[in-house]
Amino acid sequence: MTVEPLRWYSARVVLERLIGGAQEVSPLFEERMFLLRAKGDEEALQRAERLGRAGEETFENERGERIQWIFKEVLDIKAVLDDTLADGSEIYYAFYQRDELEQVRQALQTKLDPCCDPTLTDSYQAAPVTSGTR
Amino acid sequence: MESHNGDQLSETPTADQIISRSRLGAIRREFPAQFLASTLQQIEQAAKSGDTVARKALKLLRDGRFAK
Repeated sequence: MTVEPLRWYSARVVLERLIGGAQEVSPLFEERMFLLRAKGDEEALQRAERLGRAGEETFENERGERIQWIFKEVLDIKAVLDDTLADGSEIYYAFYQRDELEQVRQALQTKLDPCCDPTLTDSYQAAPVTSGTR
Repeated sequence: MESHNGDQLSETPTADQIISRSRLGAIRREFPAQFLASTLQQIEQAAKSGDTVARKALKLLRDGRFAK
């Protein structure tokens, strides 16, 4: 019997926010990306689900409402192409058509923002993260 | 932490002040109340020590979705 070696996987996991135990008209979701080790795709999927469930959390907001973040789904798993990870390792990839890319960009709204990064000075103006041509 | 007056913020603002200054109001419903009075550095330290709610607070503060 051969023993399958462990390999690296990246997994995109979604959690959903509930307020007072109920879904909202405008629900909010959080996507988390995990790096994990597994023998194959099926094990990676199970592991990603466990990581998602382990990340569930509950707290109160300033109104005293109970905020819950619960596991919703594993969006994607990808086997990492490299066996060893180092600075600059590629850990995930996805392909998009133009309209799909635009949806992703709009959803992420990623900006370089001095608000929460001490390496950016206050004089730095929040700006979209971008390079190359759109 | 010292706040001098009105809109003028000290050098180490609390999460509450950061939200008021540079985040959309919608973040308030999502933000864990126990970290409103904490500075970003305090939240980062709690997050690094494994506090999952602190991690949530940090993510919310850093995410462009809630930036003004």
